[in-house]
Amino acid sequence: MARILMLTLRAPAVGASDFSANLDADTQVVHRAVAVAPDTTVSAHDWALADLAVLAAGQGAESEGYDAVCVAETGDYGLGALRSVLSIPVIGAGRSAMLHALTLGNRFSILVPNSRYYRIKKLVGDYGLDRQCASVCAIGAETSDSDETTFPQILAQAQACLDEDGSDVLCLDTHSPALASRLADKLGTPVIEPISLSLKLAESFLGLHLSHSRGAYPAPQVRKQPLITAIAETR
Amino acid sequence: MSRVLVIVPFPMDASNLELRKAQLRSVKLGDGIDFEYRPVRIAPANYVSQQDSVLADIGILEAGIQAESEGFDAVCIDTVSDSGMAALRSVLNIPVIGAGRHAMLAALMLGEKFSILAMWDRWRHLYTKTLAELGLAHKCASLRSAGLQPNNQSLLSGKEDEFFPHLHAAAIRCIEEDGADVIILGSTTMHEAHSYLAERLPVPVINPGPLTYRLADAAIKLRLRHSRIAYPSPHAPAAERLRTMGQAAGAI
Repeated sequence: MARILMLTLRAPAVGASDFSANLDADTQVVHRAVAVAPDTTVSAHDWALADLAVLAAGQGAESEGYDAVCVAETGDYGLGALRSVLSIPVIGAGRSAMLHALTLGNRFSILVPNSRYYRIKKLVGDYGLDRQCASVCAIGAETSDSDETTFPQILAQAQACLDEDGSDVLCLDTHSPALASRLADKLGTPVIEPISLSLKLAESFLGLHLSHSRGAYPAPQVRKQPLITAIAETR
Repeated sequence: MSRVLVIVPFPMDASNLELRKAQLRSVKLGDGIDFEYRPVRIAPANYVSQQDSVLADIGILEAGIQAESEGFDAVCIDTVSDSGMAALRSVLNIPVIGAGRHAMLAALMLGEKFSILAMWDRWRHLYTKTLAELGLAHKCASLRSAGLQPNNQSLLSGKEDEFFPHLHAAAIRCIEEDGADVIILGSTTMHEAHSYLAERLPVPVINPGPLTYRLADAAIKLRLRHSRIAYPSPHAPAAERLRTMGQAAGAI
């Protein structure tokens, strides 16, 4: 039995598809939204608050008995901080989607709602993947699997990523398995749905007894768990 | 049940093939997945020159070109060189997992800089090729070897006491002198040293062969395969000609 704690900034939409869909029968996903999320994630101010919120929500995961943590946000908020305090694998949806895209092709584009454009652009640079990232494409407002009105527009933008920007793999930004498979069918190119992928990779790393490197993510000398919990819960 | 073809890059007898299959024991496999090992018919003696790389590409392509019509759901290539990976991807619509490319990208999911630990320096060219293709040379802390002569048939059997400490010493230098925070074993033939090293090193150690078994599972379940734009199809796959080549090589 592997228990994965999945962290998000907001509670999943009612009727969100099953996060365990592609996982082994003995893998269990427990979803937890952070206590207090920033209203938006458009600026560095928001990202600092999101880092804190995710750190607070996940810092006790190991003592709670979880085997892995997924930061199920492509913004990878709190990813490095959680890795510094946890020894169990911590997977970020953004980092893993970009790197996994390069297993499938040579250059990727990421389709993001306008509100997350700058965060994703920043992460591409942070991860040293500017050369491999063909484009970060803002697709307007937040969308969902069932949004028929926006699909033709997203399809057109995805096609432009391939034709004009030179990408050969696409990454979505949200948990939209149906949108990913619909786009992949129409375009004939792989479309990564980052949340499902991050859960699958967490399960894979558990199966391989691998976790993040302490060399890259040194532990703090003094843990501040109560302080982090207290300030993250203020409104 | 999903079926995965594991292409073993050298012809070998059943007992040596068992040493390759032993990689399955070091990983908890995904549900409903089965692995079938197939040695190539065309191969170089080892992988130390560009002549060898050409033969390796052809041999692995020949071994796997029919994988999709044979009913396999994915292919894993049991060599960090990724020989034959691009060629197979160009003709197959099922996932083709190369241990080298996937190990480097998985390393960057776990850390910032990786070193590749090889048996000997003659394997260097295998890694510089993939690093160049990925454009990620700046993420590689070092390529180091233990200065040991590998054996692609018997692997490390009987040489554990002699070889493992040398590999450990080289890995420590990768970490302490070169700044690596993840170590990648430079060959799937080094898998017998994985647990020895993983228990003694302060950073993650990637065992590239078993990694491919989990990533094949992920690729099948998530229905993700390589991009046709990155790996365009040939006009006419030379399956018959390759089969004839395989027969010709078997007769030599």
